[in-house]
Parts: sequence; C-alpha cells; structure tokens
Amino acid sequence: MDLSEKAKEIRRTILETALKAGKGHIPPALSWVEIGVMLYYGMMKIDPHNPKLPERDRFILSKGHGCLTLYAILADLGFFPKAELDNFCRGGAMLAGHPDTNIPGVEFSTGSLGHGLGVACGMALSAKLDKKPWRTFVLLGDGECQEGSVWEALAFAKQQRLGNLVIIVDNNKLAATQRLSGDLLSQLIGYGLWTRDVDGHDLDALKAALTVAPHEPIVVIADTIKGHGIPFMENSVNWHHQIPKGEQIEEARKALA
Amino acid sequence: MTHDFRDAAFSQIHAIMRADPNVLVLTNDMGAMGLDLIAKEFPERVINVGIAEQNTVSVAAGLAISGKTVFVYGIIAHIVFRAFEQIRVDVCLHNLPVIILGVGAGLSYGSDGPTHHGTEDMAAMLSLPNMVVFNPSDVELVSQSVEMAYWDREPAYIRLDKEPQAPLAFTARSTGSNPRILREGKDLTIFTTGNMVKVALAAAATMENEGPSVSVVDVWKFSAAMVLEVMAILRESRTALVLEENSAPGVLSAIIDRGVSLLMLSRRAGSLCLDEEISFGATTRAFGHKRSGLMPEDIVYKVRALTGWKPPIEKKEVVDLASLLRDRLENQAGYEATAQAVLEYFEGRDCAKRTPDLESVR
Repeated sequence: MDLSEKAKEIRRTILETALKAGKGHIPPALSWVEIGVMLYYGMMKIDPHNPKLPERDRFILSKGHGCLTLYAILADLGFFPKAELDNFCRGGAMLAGHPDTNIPGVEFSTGSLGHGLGVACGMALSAKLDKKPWRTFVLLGDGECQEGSVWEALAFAKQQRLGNLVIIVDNNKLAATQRLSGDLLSQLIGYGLWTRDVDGHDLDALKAALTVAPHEPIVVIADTIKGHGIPFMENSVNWHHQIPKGEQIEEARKALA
Repeated sequence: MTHDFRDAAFSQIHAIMRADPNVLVLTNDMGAMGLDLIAKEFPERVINVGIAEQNTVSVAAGLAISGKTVFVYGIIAHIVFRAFEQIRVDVCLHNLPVIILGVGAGLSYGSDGPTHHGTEDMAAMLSLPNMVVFNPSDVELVSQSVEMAYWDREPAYIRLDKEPQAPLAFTARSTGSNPRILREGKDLTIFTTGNMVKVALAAAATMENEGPSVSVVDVWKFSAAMVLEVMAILRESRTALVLEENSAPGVLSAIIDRGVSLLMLSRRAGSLCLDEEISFGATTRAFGHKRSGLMPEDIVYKVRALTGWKPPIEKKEVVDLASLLRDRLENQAGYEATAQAVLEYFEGRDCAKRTPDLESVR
C-alpha cells in the first residue's frame, strides 16, 4: 500500500467531514496524519472486524481534539461505516468532537488533556504484568505537555520501565492560542527519558522511530506542522478550530487534491 | 478482631488478592500496616505511584480497562479532590472497577487543619455517574464494603474513618442490609451515616427512659437501591432527623429532602450537618461537633423540638394536685389563693403555659 497516498486521502476526508458538519479541529488533525497512517496501516496489530481482539496493540489519542484523523482512519479501515462521518457532531451522532469508547476502535474516551498518558501507562503495566506481547501507543500534543499530570505519568513510565510503551508527541509548536517555546526535547532528555526526534511527516522516518525499546519507555518527538497540507492554515495561531469559508473552501480542496 | 478501619479493609483486600491474581493496590505514597503485609506477599501488585494523585487514578483506569480490579489508597482530601477529574473521566465515564479507598472521613484528621478535612467529598463523589459510595460506620461494614465493591466491578468509593469502631450490630440480618436499622422507635427516625451513627445511638439511649422513642437508621451504601429503601422507611416515619458529618447542606439531608418532596409527605424533617464555615486551626472532632451542634445533647434537643415532646408530669404529683384543689374548693377556701397555688406549682415545673382550667375543676 502506498502510505503517502493514504495520507492524502485521509487529509481529504478530514476536510470534507469538518466542512459538512461546520465544526471540528482541522489543523490539530492534519498535523498527525502521517503518524496515524503509519501506526494503523504500517505497524499496529488490529482487527477492524474484532475491535476488542485481546492481543491487539492499543492506541490512545490523548489530544482528543485531533479526532478527525482517527475517525477518518477507523472509517477507512472498516471499524464503522463511512456514512457515520457525514453525521459528525450532529445531535445524537456516534462521532462527537472528542472521541469516546462508544466508537468501535476507540480504546479510551479523551478530550480533557493530560489523561491519556497515565491511562496508557496503566495499560502497558497490565500487559507487562501478564507478560502479554501487545504494545501501547499514545499520542500527546506538545501543548498538552504543559499539564502537570503528563510529567507525573512520564516519571511513572520510567519508574516502572515500561518497555512496551511508545509515547509520541505531536510537536507542532502551537497550542490553541499561543506559540510554544519548542524546547520539549531538552526537557524530556533532562527528565532522563529515552527520546527520539523525528520529522513527523516523513513516513519512513516514523517507521524507524515508532518501535519499542526493550525495558524502557520511549518518547518520540514528531516534529510536525499544524494544519499541514493546507498552506493558509499551516503554522497559524488563528487556525485551531476554525472552519474554512467562502473561497477558502476551494483553496483548501485544491491544496489537498 | 481489629477495630481499625484500615486494617479491616486491607485484611479483606489481602484475602481477595490471594484468590484473584488480577487485583492490584495503588497508593500515592501512603502507608498502612495491613498494606505492608500485602506488599510483602505480592510485591508486584502493590505499587507506590508516588505523590501524584492524578496519575495514580489514570494508571488505575488503564489497568482496569485491561482487565484488572484496582484499589487506590490515599487520604480522602487529596485523592478525591486532586484527582477528581481523573475519577470523573477515566474511571466513571468508562465504568471501570477502580475502588477508591479514602482514609480520613469527615473530621478524622481534624487537628491536621482544613486541608485535611474530608467534609465535601461525599457530595462530590455522589454527583458522579456510575459511582457508588460506601460510608461504613464500623469495621464489620468496612469488610462488607470492600467485598461488595470488589464483586460489583464498578467505580466505588469507600470512606474510612481514622477512629476505630467495634461492630455496632451483630445479627446477620442487621449487618447485611442497607440501610440497616440499629434501633426502632415510634416517634422519630434518625437517618445517619458513618461516624455519626454512634453519636445518634448515644443520643437515642439518653432518651430511652423519658422519650421520645427514636429509630436509628445507618445508611452505609449510597446507591440507587438505597434511595428507594430510605424512602420506604421515611414513609413509615412520623418525623425524620438527618445527622451527618458533612458540610451543610449535606448529602443524606438532600436525599431525605428529595424523598419528602417526591413522596409528597407532610412529615417534618430536620437536619444536622457540619456548618459551612471553614474550620481553621485544630478542629478536633469534639471541638468541631460542639461548634456545629452535633453533640448527643444537641441531637436530643433537636429531636424533642421536632416531635413537640414535653417532659411528662409525674403521676403522683398530679394526683396530689387534684386532691389539693378538691379539698380547697370543697372547703370553700378562697378562689384566688387556689389559683395562685396552681400557678406557682406549674411555674416551678417550667410549664407555666399549661395553666389548668379552673372553671372546669370548679
């Protein structure tokens, strides 16, 4: 499978889903498309027809507002019908603005930042205690790393030597309303964690980086561009949950064609 | 048998962990004698997550969604409030078998100051979906709470008092039921919970000879089923009084108020809680109860006010008074003198308002 083509397709689905609903966080979704594609199409053991397969790898989207990418991938893989995307954020619909466990393929309900890593630690610890081979992947935003609970969990992952845990940071250097300093890497190294720095839009580099390290949790800092693929959204403080309007719609579609 | 709540809880958990390898205990750096014993036998299954309450609860949720049952042990004031969002989202939203074991119910840690008081946690926890709250009043109920929470496999919160308390009831029937009726009386029902149960029993005992006659109902498991049971008892009660060591407006008080309104009862109901004022300084239990009017004598006063109870007039004196009046009237002694004697008699008894109808006597 050509994963770079798949990434383009996922980007188009993200845009169309948000346009149809008139809602959603497009740029925070676009920044982790390659990460999601590499995990779901290139690495993780999953079964769309048996979402609760005991031996599956687990993925938690701790930055829950980036859910449009997750929904596009899960629908594409057949975890639920693609028609559900047309109902995104409508009253009573399965797919809300943050993912929950009513959705087949979603491991944990997120939306409040700073929870996912601690939960992922619990999952990884459970697999370690039971000597099960499945791995736990968790994706955090770099803005999310301002939450104190993230650092509590990082210390715990290290203390418990969770070698079956891969922590990925979508390092797009932007939070909802501010630019971030971007010195996360040195902070994590200073914390004593095994850290890898990688271009978050380079599929080959991601494939090499997203592997478990024996006996130690690994933190992959994926350098990304918020809004990647749609030039007028890229790296902009103004684009967090805006929806394109007027001429912007065609401009965005053209950019992703 | 130990009367310490923590020992009772951990000895029950120890037994559960011997039978079920999928049970763990997490703590935010809190120790207990019983926990040390478990850690010695199962070092892999007792984890000190460190002074990190938020992460402790998140990790517990991650373990639980992967098939484990997790007890989380910490001081109420910290584990409940620091990690409240983790309890709400990670545990309750996912309906996971995470059992929070909080020590320091009410004013247990009174002299440690207001940061350590567990006086709003019940209200907070009961507002959460899927959460069942256990507030045991003695060690026997602590064991039962642990056992029930384990088998329920749902979010649970067990509050542990720091004060030891021997079993308050011994019959299987009275210990197993919730709520449990510890004393039956016809005039008023005291609904109470946790540490206040023994205070209610003490107050009821002082009223035993004179009256009014009082029921004491111990509510220890707060669930939907409990509300129905409490309403059934409420319907049969003439008057109700709620007694709890929670900040006003209280938790059990709200349940009883709702019951009175839902059942459209015209019963009188009163409530005694801790006052809302923050207790700076060393608010020991005795000091706090005195300040908030939660001492047995306060309860007796409130019960008597609610039931309209009046001290009985001793029979012998009544007979004497009647014969005195009869004598005076028969002898045509002065009417004014008779009335004065009667008034003096009642004033002496502090019941001056009950002036007898002299006309009917005449």
